[in-house]
Amino acid sequence: MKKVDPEKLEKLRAQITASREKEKTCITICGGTGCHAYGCEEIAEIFKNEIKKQKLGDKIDIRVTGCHGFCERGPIVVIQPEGIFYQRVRKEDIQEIISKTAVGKEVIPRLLYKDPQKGVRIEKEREVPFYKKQKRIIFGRNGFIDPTDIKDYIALDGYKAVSKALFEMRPEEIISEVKKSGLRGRGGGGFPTGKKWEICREKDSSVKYIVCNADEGDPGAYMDRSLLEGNPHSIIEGMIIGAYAIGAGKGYIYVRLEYPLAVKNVTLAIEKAREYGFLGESILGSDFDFDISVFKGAGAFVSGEETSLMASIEGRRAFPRQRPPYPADKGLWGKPTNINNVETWANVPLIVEKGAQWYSRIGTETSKGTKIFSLVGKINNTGLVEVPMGMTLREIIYDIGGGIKNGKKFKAVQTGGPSGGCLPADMLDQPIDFDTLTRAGSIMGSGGMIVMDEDNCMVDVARYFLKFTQEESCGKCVPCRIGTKEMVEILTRITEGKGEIGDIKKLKDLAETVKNASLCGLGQTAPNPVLTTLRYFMDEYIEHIEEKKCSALSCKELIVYFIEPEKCVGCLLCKKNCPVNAISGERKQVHVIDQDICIKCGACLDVCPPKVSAISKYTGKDKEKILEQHNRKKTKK
Amino acid sequence: MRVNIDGREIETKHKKTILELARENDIYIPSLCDFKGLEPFSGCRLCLVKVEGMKGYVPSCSVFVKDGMKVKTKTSDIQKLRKNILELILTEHPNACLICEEKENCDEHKATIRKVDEVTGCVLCPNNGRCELQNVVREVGLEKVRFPSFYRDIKVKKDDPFFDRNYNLCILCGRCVRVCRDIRGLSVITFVKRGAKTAVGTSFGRSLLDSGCQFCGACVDVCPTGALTEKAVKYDSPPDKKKDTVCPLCSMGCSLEFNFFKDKFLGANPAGSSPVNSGQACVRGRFALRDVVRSENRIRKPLIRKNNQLEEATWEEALDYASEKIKKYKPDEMAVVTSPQLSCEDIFVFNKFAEKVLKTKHINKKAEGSPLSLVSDACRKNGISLPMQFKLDDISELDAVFLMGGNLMESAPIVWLSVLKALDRGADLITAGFLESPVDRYASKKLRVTPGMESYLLAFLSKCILDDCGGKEFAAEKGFDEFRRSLDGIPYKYLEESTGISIEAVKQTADILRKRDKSGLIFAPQVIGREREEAAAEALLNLAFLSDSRIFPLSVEGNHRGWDAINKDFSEKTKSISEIWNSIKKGQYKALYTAAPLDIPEDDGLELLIVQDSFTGDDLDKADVVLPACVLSETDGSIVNTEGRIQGLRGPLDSLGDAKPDWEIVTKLAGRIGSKDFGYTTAGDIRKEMARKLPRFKDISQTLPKRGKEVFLKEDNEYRKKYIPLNPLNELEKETPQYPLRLVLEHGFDYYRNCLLSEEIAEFDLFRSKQWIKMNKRDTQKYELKEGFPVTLKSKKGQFKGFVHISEYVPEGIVTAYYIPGRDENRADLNLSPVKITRGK
Repeated sequence: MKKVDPEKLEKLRAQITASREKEKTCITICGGTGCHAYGCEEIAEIFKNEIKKQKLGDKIDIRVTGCHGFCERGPIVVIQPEGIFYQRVRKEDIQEIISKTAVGKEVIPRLLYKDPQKGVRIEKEREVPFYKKQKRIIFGRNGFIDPTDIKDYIALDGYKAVSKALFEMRPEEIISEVKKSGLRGRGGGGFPTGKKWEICREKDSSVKYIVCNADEGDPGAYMDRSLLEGNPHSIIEGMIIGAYAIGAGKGYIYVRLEYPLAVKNVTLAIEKAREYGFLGESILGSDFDFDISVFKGAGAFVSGEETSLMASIEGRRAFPRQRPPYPADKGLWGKPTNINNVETWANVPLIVEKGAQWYSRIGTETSKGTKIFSLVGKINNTGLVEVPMGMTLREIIYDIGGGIKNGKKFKAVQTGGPSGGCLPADMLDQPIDFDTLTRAGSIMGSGGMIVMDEDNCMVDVARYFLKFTQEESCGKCVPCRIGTKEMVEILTRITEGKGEIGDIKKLKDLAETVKNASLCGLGQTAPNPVLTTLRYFMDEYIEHIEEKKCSALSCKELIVYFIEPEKCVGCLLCKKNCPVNAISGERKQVHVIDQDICIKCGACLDVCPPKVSAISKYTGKDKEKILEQHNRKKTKK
Repeated sequence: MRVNIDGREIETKHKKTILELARENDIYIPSLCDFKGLEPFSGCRLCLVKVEGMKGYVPSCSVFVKDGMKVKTKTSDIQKLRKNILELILTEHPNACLICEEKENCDEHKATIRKVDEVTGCVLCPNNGRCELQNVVREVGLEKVRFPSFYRDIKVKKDDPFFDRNYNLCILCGRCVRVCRDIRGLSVITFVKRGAKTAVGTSFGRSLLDSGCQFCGACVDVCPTGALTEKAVKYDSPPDKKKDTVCPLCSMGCSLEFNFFKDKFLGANPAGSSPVNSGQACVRGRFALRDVVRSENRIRKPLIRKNNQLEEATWEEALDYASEKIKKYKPDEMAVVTSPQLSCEDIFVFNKFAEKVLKTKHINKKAEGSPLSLVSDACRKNGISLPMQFKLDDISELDAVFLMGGNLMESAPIVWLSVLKALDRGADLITAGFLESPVDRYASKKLRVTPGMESYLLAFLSKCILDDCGGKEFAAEKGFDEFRRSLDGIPYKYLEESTGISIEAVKQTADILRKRDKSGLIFAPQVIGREREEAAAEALLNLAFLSDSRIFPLSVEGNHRGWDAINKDFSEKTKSISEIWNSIKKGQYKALYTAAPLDIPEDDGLELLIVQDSFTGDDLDKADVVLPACVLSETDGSIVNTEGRIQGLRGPLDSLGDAKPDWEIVTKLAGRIGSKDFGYTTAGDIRKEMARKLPRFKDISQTLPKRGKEVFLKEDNEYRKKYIPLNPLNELEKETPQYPLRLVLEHGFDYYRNCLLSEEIAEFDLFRSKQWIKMNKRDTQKYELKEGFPVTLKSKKGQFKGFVHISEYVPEGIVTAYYIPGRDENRADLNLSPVKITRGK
């Protein structure tokens, strides 16, 4: 019998820590999504085999952990206890890492991260600028835990909060603590979590449910995934505490099937938690019963909306329904239900364990704690970052994110997933919290952050995001289903140079209708990319419509590719790579693009040697000129 | 509660939505997805209003009014928003006509233009004039659509019977999807795909026939546009007149509205305000009834056999002829067959005619396969009395429903809707029968009993209850000891083997029935042979006593309860239609007067056969005289539904040809023969006499009860229990290699007098054919058969023909065929026996 009570839990914790020599070398390999894509699985396998082969098992531990966040530099290997940080590790490096660093405690400079600004190599993980400014209270433990081993979690004070909640606190006290902490829902809405729990607790019903919303659907966002994959027990612990506070007997984790590793790890974690008596009947020997099931969603974006998520669990089509009644009144199968997002649940054990006072010191006046963002797009350090609320966009993008790729100019950042807004450069010094983002016309959302540079056309960006929400609209309500479609059509028209002056008014009108009249959050926020780009980048719209010009040189219909005669060396590279044979010209003679054939794929630009860089893109009047010239030459022939 | 809408203070008591309250007070709020009786959907967004203290705009269809609430419905921003939303709806729906300036001119001059298939505007749309979208556009005052139209270009779906589906006109209000799922419990149609491609459809785009559609027509009735249209009236004008009546085709007695345009009968719709069917109907009332009552096979003139040929005659001639012949027979030489498809007045007069004029005891008073008759006979025989009438609401309030006898969706679709309501409230459903059925998906327990062993299953349940509780509490009750001894004599093992059900399943069921506050036993029609049916009825009574459950014995034909009540008041002597049929076979009678369809044997030995029917049938071949009767929809008689509710038919239709109501024909005949007791000139005269003479009809009067006014048969309120010992059953003949399959008859419901719905209506035949021989797909593979193959079923006792129909609900090793009492007696002989199946006609 593995079942524990508070006393046995502490004994177990002591046992685990005692059995682990603090000074023993441990090679931790990031097993997160990004590193998986880089092939970390194979690397981990080789490490394990090598250690075995070399019979180093009693000297060196191997641990495949959750995501470290710095996905740009994967696969990541950290040698503990020193915290030596190796990045972009390849199979060929493994032998050397074992012999030199793990055994010999010697650092291999080539594998260290090089600060692009200062040009120096950095040895320790915590000193890497990407991590330095972060406050990783939720995400930090990922790097030390093997998510498939409950003992790792217990060793890091895991389930201490449950023990405290169940035996030292009354449900009301827990709720009051969560209220005092100022925690707000991390799923996007930002509703005060404690308040939400309180409403649900006060409902008179013998059956109540809690749900963990892990239907993370924003393209490019994967923080919930990384938490579930990397530290599933923290979410389970949060849910146990929440269930106890609310009086729920059953919980669901709604996770999309496209997250197979998350499904696997969280399912295993639940089994383990049951084995140790953290779930099931009489949790830790108390009289509180609670269990969790994993529900695999089919991956519709709208399922992340709480009412459609519940419909989906009930076996119906994931259609949202009008609120009120809110889930606290009429949730799963009509019973009071409390739904929180993965990250919210992960915050709960911390608040209970360390107290609301500690927690509320982090963050701003109205937004407490930290927030995990997935920083992607035209940024040097792609990855997951956890920062205290109130950090400015500039700090996140430049200090942590390392600035814009290829030294380009920052143009906008889109926060909150596809239905968030695009914020321009003059908003960079805005502190990030729920309220400032809303005021700026965007949303916190689940924490997606897509950075865009001067090559991004904002009209096209708006079209792109709207097309996503349009395709993911559930089709139930008219404004979202049809309104977004009409908007996509107008935006497409504008990017194709067929826009008319009246289009901007129509767009605004549609955006207002969709925003005001849609049934659920998906529709209500879908116009945000359009509204914010209209607000901050109106000149780009006008330019597209009036001058048929795309200054970002991104909208295909509005640009031409042109080979500068004075630069072209006649190397034939572009000619060979053109998929439609639009380029003519002999060796060492100037090449010419036949504009009638060119499909503007950009292959020529890609292959033209940087030293030559003879290929340019032109738009607007310049484009017209080139076309005119081209036509004249053609007629002459 | 006081609510302020647009500055008007409105007082209201009941919980209702803002939209409902506004409608009651003539405040117009446009809406396209809301529909009475369906849960709010809030999809069309047209009903958005502003409520003080609530964020943004809220859909008035889903927000309930509260005391002190302040609502604004007509501010300029709301109106602008509404216009914008409606404009979006119209981009997905042909809109040229809706916003055309010439609209009025067009309506006037191109009234009959819509006889085309591709609907690109209202003038071409079958729904023109009854379309809710037209109303909303008019009210909202939309004049132009700024965005390009999007025509979905989906092929119109016409392959299914009764109605077409043109999803190019669909506005995705979801009413059809919701009524199918939430009210009918089916989910044949649902939303498919997402985004702009969202549409209504079946799973995998299959036909409705292949998706389990019951063709109740509920979706057609709720559709606000022309997307779903009834084929038969697609190109007719909207009705200019509606008349209330009651559907005579089954024992539910649904309230219907008959629609007319310039006195042409268009068809029937369920009436919204009915306490019986509240806006719902089934395929029979909604689609088949129209074709039945106006069938080509109606008999329009009296016929007399001359030179071995039936020739048209006048009423005078026919009545003279018949009365002269009847006069020759002594008491008991002549038999009379009536039918529960006649009105109470007809049945009363028939009984009186048999008693006073013919002085015959041979009149059929009993029905096979009718749970109501079986249970009431068992009660009478054993001196038991318990309430057998009920209201549908009694069923919706049950906590546990034990359903015996198969597919309620087919036998009593409206009763099924009440069961669904109970299930919605959390009740458990237990189904017991030999076939799978579409209702099984709602069952928390399915007891698949060996065909014919139903009474043993019920005894099995009783035994489990007794052994569980010891039975002391029942010891003093009448007949208990003997009953208990009869159960003690049968070991569990034997019960398990003979019923094919494990003791665990039976114990769990017994537990549910006994422990729930309100448990009910619904006894639906099935055909398992006379003795077995009687044994089952008795066993059901025992179980009801032990589990303190209420019995709901259903009836089959339109006026079953009325027929049963009247017959009992005339004489105790009971005879069933098949007994009379068998007596004809044996040549016991010299003459027969039948108002029910009968298969008359070749050498019947009858000297005289009088057939009184509305439709031509095989029995006419033998008839000496044929008297054309009205269908019930042409009479102002009354019928009693399965609850015991007496309802007036109110004759919405004129009689066809020379047909007369049955009571009138009998009355005239009695007069001819010289009786003075039949002085009726209207059905009301008969009712007056019935109210006086028949205690159970005390509450009826000369004039018929109006719809909504509740008049029920009087019922004996005494509760007298008695346990009936279990009757051992004969063992069924075993299957042999030569006869490898077992035939089980299913009760057929799709007939009205001599009219078989599937023969009368080609589309009905696609949906449910009387000719079907249903079998499992694996069996068809085994015997190398395919859907629709003509086959013959043979047993040692006889044979009959039909067509193969593959059904997922028939278990392997079993074949089923439909049986209608009286007209399929040759099939009855084969029931439950081993058969073989051979291809070919």
